[in-house]
Amino acid sequence: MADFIDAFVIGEAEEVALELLGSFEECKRSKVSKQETLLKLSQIPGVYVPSLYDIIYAQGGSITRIIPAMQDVPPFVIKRIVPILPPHPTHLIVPNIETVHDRLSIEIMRGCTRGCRFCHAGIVNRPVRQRPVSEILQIIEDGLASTGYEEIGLLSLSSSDHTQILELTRAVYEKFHDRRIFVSLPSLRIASFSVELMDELRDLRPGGGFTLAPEAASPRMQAIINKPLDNTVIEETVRMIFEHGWLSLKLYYMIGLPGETLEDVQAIVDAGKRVLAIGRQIRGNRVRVHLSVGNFIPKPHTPFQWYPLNSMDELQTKLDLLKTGVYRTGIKLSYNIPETTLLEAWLSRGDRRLGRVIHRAWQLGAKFDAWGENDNMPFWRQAFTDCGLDPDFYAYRQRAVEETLPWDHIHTGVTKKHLLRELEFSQAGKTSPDCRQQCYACGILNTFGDKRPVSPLVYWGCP
Amino acid sequence: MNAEPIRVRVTYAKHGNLRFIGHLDLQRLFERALRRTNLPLRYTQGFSPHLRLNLASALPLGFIGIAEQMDFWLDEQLPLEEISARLWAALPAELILKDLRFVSNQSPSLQASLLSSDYEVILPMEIDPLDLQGKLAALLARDTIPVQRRKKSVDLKSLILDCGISGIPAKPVMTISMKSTPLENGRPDELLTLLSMDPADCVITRTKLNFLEE
Ligand code: SF4
Repeated sequence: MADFIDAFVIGEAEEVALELLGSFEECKRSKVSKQETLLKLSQIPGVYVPSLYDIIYAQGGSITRIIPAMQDVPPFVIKRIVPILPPHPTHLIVPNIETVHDRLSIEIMRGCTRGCRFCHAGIVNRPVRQRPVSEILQIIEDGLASTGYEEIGLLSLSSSDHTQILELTRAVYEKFHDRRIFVSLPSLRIASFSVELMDELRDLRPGGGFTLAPEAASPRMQAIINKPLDNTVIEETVRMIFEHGWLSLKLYYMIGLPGETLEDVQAIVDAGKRVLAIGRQIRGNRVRVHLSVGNFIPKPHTPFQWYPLNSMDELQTKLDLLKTGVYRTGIKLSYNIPETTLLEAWLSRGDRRLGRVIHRAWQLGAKFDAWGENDNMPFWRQAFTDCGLDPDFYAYRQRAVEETLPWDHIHTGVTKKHLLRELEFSQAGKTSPDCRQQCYACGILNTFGDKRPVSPLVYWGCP
Repeated sequence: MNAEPIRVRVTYAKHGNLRFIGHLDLQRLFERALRRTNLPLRYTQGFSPHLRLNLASALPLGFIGIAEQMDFWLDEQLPLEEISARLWAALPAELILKDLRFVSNQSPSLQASLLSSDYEVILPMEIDPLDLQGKLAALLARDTIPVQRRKKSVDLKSLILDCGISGIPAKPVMTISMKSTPLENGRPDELLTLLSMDPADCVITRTKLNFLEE
């Protein structure tokens, strides 16, 4: 991105945005050069100025070192966090036409302690911080008054893990049930508790289905990704969902995970069938089950960052298996086109040289790549060729753990040591339970512990 | 709550960028604006209650409306000035409140009593108004003017109540009056197309809604 973007804020921008603007304004006023301005910005903790780093490549094309190009430039950039979640915006732009997420969205908690190994958000948003119930209620009050929205969304990475979530849903019902609003509460864990939470909202529940995200269906895969799920718990939750009034259930899964076999993929189909059978047994033929299957991309900063992407053939075979599996079962299946995944993988796992590829592909005519009707892949392949780069090098190569990764100078606070340990655990089929029960010393407290507020009113997930 | 609701009739103008939002979006916009007023709004009963709101007639996308009408209901009587002030504060700049009054609950719904609409069309520069006048006269002289809507054919002639061009030559404006009932709804853009104009090149304003009682 160095070719396009002068400076990034790494991590949470709420505080640093002002520091950045202040520093920028000062530079403008004293009319210093762009180069000097960038150097100045790079001094602000959390600001990453890519042009101030040199990348040294090895013979085979991998990176040997990433070094500051100038004195005073920090060797790596540590992400910024806000120790206490800052005041939530309540005066929002209300669109005049229907948009996606057309509701008052409220962040009730930031971060997640579950430690799913594929999950980028779960690593980069540590530590867990949450808003107290009273604050959330006030945000809803003010937000509704200023926007007129008829629906609110209580958002987080794993809402059932908010320590006061039951209190919150009760209070929301108490306070707002006569306001004719709907309250959506996504990202709930697979547990009967989640259904109880939804029950607390009673008629404030928006219509539509229930959504769960098991991500993997076979116990083996669940251990690999660290999202273990007891079959009886799933069945109990599903049963409860149908018994408590829902008619449709959407399940999120991934394919292309490390170590995945065709049996593991078949397990997704089987799980879908079991769920449908339970639903039909309780509510009859009106029940709808929807499997939404995404293609896994090994994400930077996660324990899986060293893995290659599944080949297009592998993904296609797995998709075919799913399609055949659900054929005539009444289960709805939605999935992503493997080629789009490939493009995403190049972009999210690439290094600085991809800037040229992006520019070239755009020159050749690639745009609106996420729109299914555009087949831009030939442009992208041509762009790689024109830049003398091999796309497979980025997508399909198992990276060595000693290798310097293109994002190694960006620190999330979680150490590579922790990621490697999680990788080893994964390969051994070992799970790591919720880190609120047992801290793994992932590095977050070492990095940010001194910022931690001492007030008992401020909740951090770390011990 | 079960007391007789208070029916409020709003006359408003929709113009500027807002003329490019559709009927459903407009309805949602009004709903949110009304919610922002914090007035004691009346909702429908039932499992998923909705704000009671009734727009007289869908204004086609891109048209300006200067005397559109809508009804909404309150649970309690409040001074008109107060309702007006709160609504003014909540509406976006391109929706202009022109009139506000109380209406009896006994009077029929806006949709049911709407008979026709009047439109004014500012013609594109390159159109020769005299030539257009000739074309229009020829068209209106026909017994029927069939136009195709989806799968069925409609006789535009029976929908046109009045049509003419004034202001020739300096400022030619075409005025059209057409039926606007649920069963017979005239579309001025269809007429413009028949006269070999692109409706998108014209500025079309709905100037008046004509109701049964008036
Ligand atoms: S420091 Fe411990 S508790 Fe905090 S996020 Fe890391 S592993 Fe979890």
